[in-house]
Amino acid sequence: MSLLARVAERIYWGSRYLERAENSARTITVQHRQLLDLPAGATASWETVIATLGAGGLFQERYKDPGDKLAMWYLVGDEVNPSSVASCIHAAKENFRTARDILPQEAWYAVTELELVAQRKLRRRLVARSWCEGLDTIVEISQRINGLLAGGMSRGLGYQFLLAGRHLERMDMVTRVLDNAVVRTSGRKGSVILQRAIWRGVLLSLSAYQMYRQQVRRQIYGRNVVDFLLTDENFPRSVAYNLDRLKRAVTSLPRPRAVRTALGPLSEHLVRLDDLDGKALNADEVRAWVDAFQIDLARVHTAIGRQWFPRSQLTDEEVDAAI
Amino acid sequence: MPINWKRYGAKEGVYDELIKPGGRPRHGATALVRYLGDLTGERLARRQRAAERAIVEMGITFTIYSEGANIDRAWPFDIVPRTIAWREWSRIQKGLKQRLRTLNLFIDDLYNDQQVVADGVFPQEVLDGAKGFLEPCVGVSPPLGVWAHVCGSDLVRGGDGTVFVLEDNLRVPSGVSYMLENRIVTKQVFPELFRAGAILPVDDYPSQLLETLSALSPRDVEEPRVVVLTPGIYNSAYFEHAYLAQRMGADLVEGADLEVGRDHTVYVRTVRGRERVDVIYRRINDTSLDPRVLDKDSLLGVPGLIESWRRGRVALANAPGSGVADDKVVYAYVPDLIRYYLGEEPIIPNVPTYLCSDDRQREYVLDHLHELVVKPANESGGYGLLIGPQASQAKRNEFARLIRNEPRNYIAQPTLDISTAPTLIDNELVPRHVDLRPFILQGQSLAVTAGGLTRVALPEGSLVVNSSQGGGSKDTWIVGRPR
Repeated sequence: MSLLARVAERIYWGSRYLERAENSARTITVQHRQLLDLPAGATASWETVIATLGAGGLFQERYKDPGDKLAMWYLVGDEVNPSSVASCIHAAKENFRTARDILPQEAWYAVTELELVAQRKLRRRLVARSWCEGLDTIVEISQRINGLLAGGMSRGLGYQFLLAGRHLERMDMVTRVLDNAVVRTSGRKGSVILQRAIWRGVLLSLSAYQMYRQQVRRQIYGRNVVDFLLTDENFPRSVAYNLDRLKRAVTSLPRPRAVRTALGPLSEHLVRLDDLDGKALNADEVRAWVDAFQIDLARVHTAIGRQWFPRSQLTDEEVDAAI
Repeated sequence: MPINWKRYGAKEGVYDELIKPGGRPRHGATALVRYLGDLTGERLARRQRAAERAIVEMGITFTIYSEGANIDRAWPFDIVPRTIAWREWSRIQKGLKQRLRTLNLFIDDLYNDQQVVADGVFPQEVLDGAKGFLEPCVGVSPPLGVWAHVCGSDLVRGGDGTVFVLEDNLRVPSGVSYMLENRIVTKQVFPELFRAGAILPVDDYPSQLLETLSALSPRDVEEPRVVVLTPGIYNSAYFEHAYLAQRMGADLVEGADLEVGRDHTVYVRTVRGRERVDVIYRRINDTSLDPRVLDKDSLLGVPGLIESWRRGRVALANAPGSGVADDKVVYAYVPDLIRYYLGEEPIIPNVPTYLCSDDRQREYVLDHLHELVVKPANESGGYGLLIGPQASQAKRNEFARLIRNEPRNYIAQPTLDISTAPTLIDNELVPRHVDLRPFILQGQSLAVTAGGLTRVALPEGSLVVNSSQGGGSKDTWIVGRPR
C-alpha cells in the first residue's frame, strides 16, 4: 500500500519545523551568550538574528522600539511570530499528529514533550532564565527524537520524506546564517577579535565548532568557515553533505525525475564555489551566491510539493468535466 | 480493611449488575466478587492508579475541542468490570441481531417500495417529518441490501432486571476502540482472573469489521482497498478512527485525500499517484459527505462521492440515509417493524415511549413532565434533553413550549432507575449507574461484540453516562459460556 500524499506532506513539514526549532534554539542561545560579552555599541544585535530567522517585517510592525528582551521574546515564545521556537514546535506537533501512526511511538511522545517544554518555559513572557533553560532542553529533546527516528523507524517512504524535510531545512538554515555573518563582518567592521567572535558564533549555532577545529586545524577565519559549512562532505550540517543526502532520499521515492532535475542547479552552485577558492572573502560575492542558491532551493521545495503532494491528481479534462 | 459486600449500599428498587440484595454475588459474578472482597480499598486504589498510568502511556485519549485548541484527555476508566452471564447474553445477542436485520429491511424498504407505509404499519406523517430521510438515496440498492453495517445500540436495565433498548445508533456510532482498550488495561490490572479462560475475548472486532467492509467491495478482488474517512484531528473520536484504521491495516483518510474521477471512481491520492478505493468506512455525517449533493459548505466531504455510491462504484459504510432509522420517533415503531418484517416477537423490548405527535400521548407528556425524560428526535450524545424530576420549573416550561411548537420532534420516556455496578470512588466500592453499548455488524452475516462498552455515570445519583459529560467506562465480561 502506498503512502498517502497528505501524510507524506505532513511528515515532510513536521520534519522541517522540528529541524527549524532546533536550529533556532541553538542560534538564539549562542546570540544570547555573545551579547553578554560584546562591548557596548557593537554591531551585533537581535535584529540580525531576527533577519536570519526570517521574520523581520512582522517584528518591526509589531514593536516600535524594542529592547533586547522583547526582541528575544519575539524569537523564543511570541505567538505572533510564526517562526518563533515555540511556534515551530507547535507546528511540528500538529503536523506529526496526523502522521503519528508512521512514527515510532517513543518519538511521538518526545514530540509531545517538546510542546510541553515550550508551553512551560518558552511561552512565559520576559523570563530570560526560563527561556535559556527551555532552549537547552529543546535542543536535547530534538536530538533524542532524531536518535529515536534513526534507531527505530523503517526506511520506507515515510522515512525518506522525513529526511527530505530535514536536509532541505538544514541547507536553508546554513545559508541564512552565513549570509547574516557575512553582512556583520563585511567592510572590516570592528576588531579582529570581534570578527572572530562572530564566526565562532556561526560555528556554535550550527554545532559545527568542534568539527571545524578537527577538520580545518587553523584559526577561525571567515573564509574557512564559509568553505567548511558549504563544501565539507563529511560534516552532517554542511550544505554539500545535506545536498548529497537529499538527492539520495529523493531518488528512493517514486518517480523522482522532476525533483532530481530541480536539484541540478544546487550542485552547480557548489561547483561554482571553486572559482571563489583561494581568494579573500568578498561579502558581495558570497551574498550573491547565497541569494541564487536560496532561489533554487525554494524551487526544489516547490518541485517536491508538485510531485508528491499535489492538490489534485485529476487530469485537466476531468477537472473541466467536474466544473 | 477487606471489602464488605453487605455494606455495599445498593439503592432500594435498583438492580445491581454484580450484587444481589443482601450482598451475595449474581450468577456469573461470583469469582470476581469473591476476588474483590479479598482486596482492601487501598489495594484496589493502587490498581486503579496503575490502570490510569497505563491509559496515559498507551495514549488512550478522547479529544475535547474548546477555545480554538484541541485537548487530549485521558480516557476515564473504572477498573471494576461489569459482568453478564452468558445465558442472558446469548438471548440479548439474538435480540440485537433481530433488531439490526429489521432496521436494514426497513431502510431498504423506505428508499425503494415503501411497502411498510402502504401496508399501514408505518405512518406517512412520521416519514414526512424524518430529518434523516435523504432524497438522493431514493431508489438505491446497496450491496447485500444492507444500509447500516455498523450499529451501536444502547441498552439499559430497569429495576426488575429487564433489559431495554434505549436507542439505536446507525449513523457513526463510536466507542468500540475503548471497549478493546479497556480489555487490554483490565488484563494488566487483574491478570489472575483471566487464567480460567471463562471470559469471552473481544479482540476479534477489527478483523470482523474488515471482513464486513470487504464484503461490500464493488470489485471482485482478493484485497479490496478499504479506507477510514475521518473529519480530522479535531473530532472527539479521532483516536478511534486512527485506532480502527491501524488495526484493520486500512488508510486513515480525510476528504481532501479522496477525489472522484470522470468514470465516477473514487481515488485516494498517494505519493505514487492515485489509487482506486473500493470501500469507505466513513466516520463523518451524512450531510457532510458530498458538497455537491448535501451540505454545500462542507469542507470535509468529497465532491461526487454520492453519485459514485449511487452507481455502485464505491461502497459506503454506513450507507448515507441510514440515519432515518435512528430517529427517536422511528424507534417507537421498531417492535412493530420486527413483527412486520420478520414475523417474530421482539426479543429485547423498547423502553415505553410517548410520541408527542399523537394528541393524547402529548397531553399525557405535558401533564407528567416532572416524571418523564423528554428527548429531541434527532440529537445524540445526551444533548438537548430534559430529565423531568431533576429539572427546574422554568426548564420544564421551556420544554412544554418546545413540544407544543414542534410535536413531531419530541418523544418522552419514563425515567428509568437504570441499573448500577460497583465502582471505585475514593477507595470504596459504591453503586453507580451504567448502560451498555454493544456493537452489531451486518455484511455477509451478522456479528455482535462479546459484551460492549459499559459506560458509567461517575457522580453520585447521575444518570448521564456520556464521556463528554462526566461519564467513565468499564470493561464488560461475558462469563460462563459452556465449552
